[in-house]
Formats: sequence, C-alpha cells, structure tokens
Amino acid sequence: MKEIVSITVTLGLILTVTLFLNVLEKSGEQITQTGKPAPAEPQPDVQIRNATILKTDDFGYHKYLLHAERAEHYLQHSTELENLRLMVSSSGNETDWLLTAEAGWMDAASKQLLLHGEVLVNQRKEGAADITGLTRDMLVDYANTLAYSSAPATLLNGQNMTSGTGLSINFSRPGKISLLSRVSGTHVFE
Amino acid sequence: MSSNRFTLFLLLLALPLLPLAEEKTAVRVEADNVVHDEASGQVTYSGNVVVTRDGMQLLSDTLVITRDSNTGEGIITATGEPLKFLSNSEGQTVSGDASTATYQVDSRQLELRGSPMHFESVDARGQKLNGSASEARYDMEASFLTMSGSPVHFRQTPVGDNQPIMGTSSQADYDMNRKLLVLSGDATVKQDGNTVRNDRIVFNLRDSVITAGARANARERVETLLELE
Repeated sequence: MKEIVSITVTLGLILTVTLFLNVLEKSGEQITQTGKPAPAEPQPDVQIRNATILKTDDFGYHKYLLHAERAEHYLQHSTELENLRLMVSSSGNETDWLLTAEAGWMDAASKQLLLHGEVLVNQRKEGAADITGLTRDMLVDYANTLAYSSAPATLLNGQNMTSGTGLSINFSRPGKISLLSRVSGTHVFE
Repeated sequence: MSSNRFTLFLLLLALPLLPLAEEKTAVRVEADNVVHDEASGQVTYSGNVVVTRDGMQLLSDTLVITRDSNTGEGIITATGEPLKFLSNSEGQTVSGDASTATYQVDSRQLELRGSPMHFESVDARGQKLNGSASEARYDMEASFLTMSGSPVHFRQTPVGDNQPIMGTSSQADYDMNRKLLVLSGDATVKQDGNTVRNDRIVFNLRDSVITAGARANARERVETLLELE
C-alpha cells in the first residue's frame, strides 16, 4: 500500500514540475519574440449608445442626420460607428437620401464618413419611383456633398435594375446617382 | 450586411410580381456609365452604349431615356459618334449609321438623322439596297422605311450578274414586305448607262421592274435617256 502511495505522489510531482516548466518555457518564448510587452489597445474616451448627430446649415436647416446604435470616440482620432443610418437632406428638413451600413468611421474633423461593408442607398422623391442602390465601402464627403464607392453596385429604380462597378452620389439638389463603369441592365417602360 | 442584403433580396423578389407590361417593353442597355438625374427624371447612359430590343440594336456614345409628356410613351434618344443601328426581322436586315436616332418604344418607330445617314437593307435572298439620306423614319412594325434628303441616293445590287441600279430622288419610300421602292420628287434611276427621269418612279425590287409616268401615278411625262452603243 505504501508503495502505491509513494508511486502516485512521485508521478504527481513529475507531472506538476513538467507543467510548471512548460508554462515557464512558453512565457519565455513570448518575451523573446516581441522583445517588449505588446502595446495596450487604444481605448475610447467616449462610448455612446444610440448616438445621433444632427448637422444643420447656416439657416438651421437639416443637412444630415447620423444615427448609430453605438459610437466610440477616440481622443484626437476618429469615431467608430456601428449599425448606422445617415439621412442627407439638400432642401429644407426633408430627407432626400438614406444610407445604411453595418459599420462606419468618421474622421476627427467630422468631414468624411467611411461606410464599411455593404451599404444600402435609398432616394425618395415625390411622384417618382424610389431609387435603391447597393454597394460596399462607401466614402461620404460632407464638404463636397458627394459619396463614392469603387465596388460593384446595383441600382433599382421602379422595375429597372442596373448593375455596374463604382457608384457615386451627388447630394446637392437636384441629386444625381451614377454607376461609373461596366454598366448593364434592363430598362422597363411601364 | 445581412439586413441590407435581405432588403435587396426582397426588392428583387418583388420585381416579377409587378405588372406584365415590362415583358413587352423592356430594353437591355449596356454602357460605360449611367446617371439618374433627379431634376429631369432622365436616365443617361454614356460611353459605348448598346441598347437591344427584340431584333433591334442601337450603338451610340450617349443614350437618354425619357417619356413623351403627352402620350407617356418611352423615348430613347441616341447621339454621338459612332451611332449605328441594326435591325433583323424575318430575314430582312436593315443597318446603317446616323448622327442622332430617336426610338419610340411602343410604336417601334426609329427616326434617324445624319449628314448624311447611311443605310443598307439586305433581304433573305441576299438582294441589297443601300444609300444615303438626310433623314429616315423606319417603322419596324410595318417594315417600312421612309427617307428624305437633298437628294436621297440609293443603289440596288441584284442577286446574280445583273448590273446595279442607282438613283436619286427627294424622297424614297421603301416597303420591305412588298419589295417596292417609290421614288418621288425629281427622281432619277440609272442602269446600264440608261437613265429614267420622272417626278415619281416605282421600282419593284422583286423582279427589278421600273415603272414611271402615268402608270406610276406621276404627273410629269417620262424622260428616258438611252445609251446607244
């Protein structure tokens, strides 16, 4: 019986020492590879849930309204946005354009907004069919009232569907939405 | 983004549920770029534009799609070099080039203008009629081509060893189904050195018979110049 206890204790000690040495070896490897501890991830100074930014012109009219489910502001850097909707108006307080995206990045000066991933564009106009566009990774330039993407894009206007590469939007009134290259589609006369 | 993709998916699903008329009046367009203009409601395609509908194809630099303000009919206006058109129906091919082309979608009328515009028509037998005019109106439903100019030039190349027939007139109406070319206004037709002149000449392309004078409902007497060997 004593022998069995002695063998078990010895095996337990060997196992413990082996594990301890293994852990030491791994932590030593990490220090050797990086040379110094990894820098800390930048932390946001402000986190806002259901953030809304309203920008008005000199006369107080609504220019754009940005809503994000989550916004993280990094000091002297940018603002990262999640599940955002951008409503751009070029006249009065009407919403002319609605852009939605899963994620976005706004520069420190709030002059440009980069929409990541799939971007859905919708233009509403009284008395005419809505124009809907789908593309990816779109840059919105507030100062020049432009938005641009170089990715493949599709436009739906009534029963018309047109595809191409590259999409640009001019938000100024009258607005224009363009496919920039390799356009093909069907135009239906209702 | 899954919600965006789902929205587009729903929109695409809804397309076939929309009214039936589109099957009949849809045109296929390819281009380098397209602009939807909010102000005019126009859709402008530009750069290597190709529009196709049934047996008709129109190639141009710029193409604008609008609607007639009175009738609501869709209108396609093509401009810019090169502007070429091609129509193929029941073995009859009509092709050519022009400076501007206006196509009325419902009535299938193609108006061509040029300085000059050129046309070529080839029937199922290989018989060719080509020429030039200032303006042409091609009724695709009726297979009828009306040309006017100062003057209209034409040349018919018959199948076989027959000599080509050439001519000029102020206006030419070509009925492709009946193979009749009616020349009116200072009309002249030449073949083998012989010339026929009249205010109205009817040229039957099926059997290469030229009729002028009273039998062609002309007001003037026929003037014929025969080349004697």
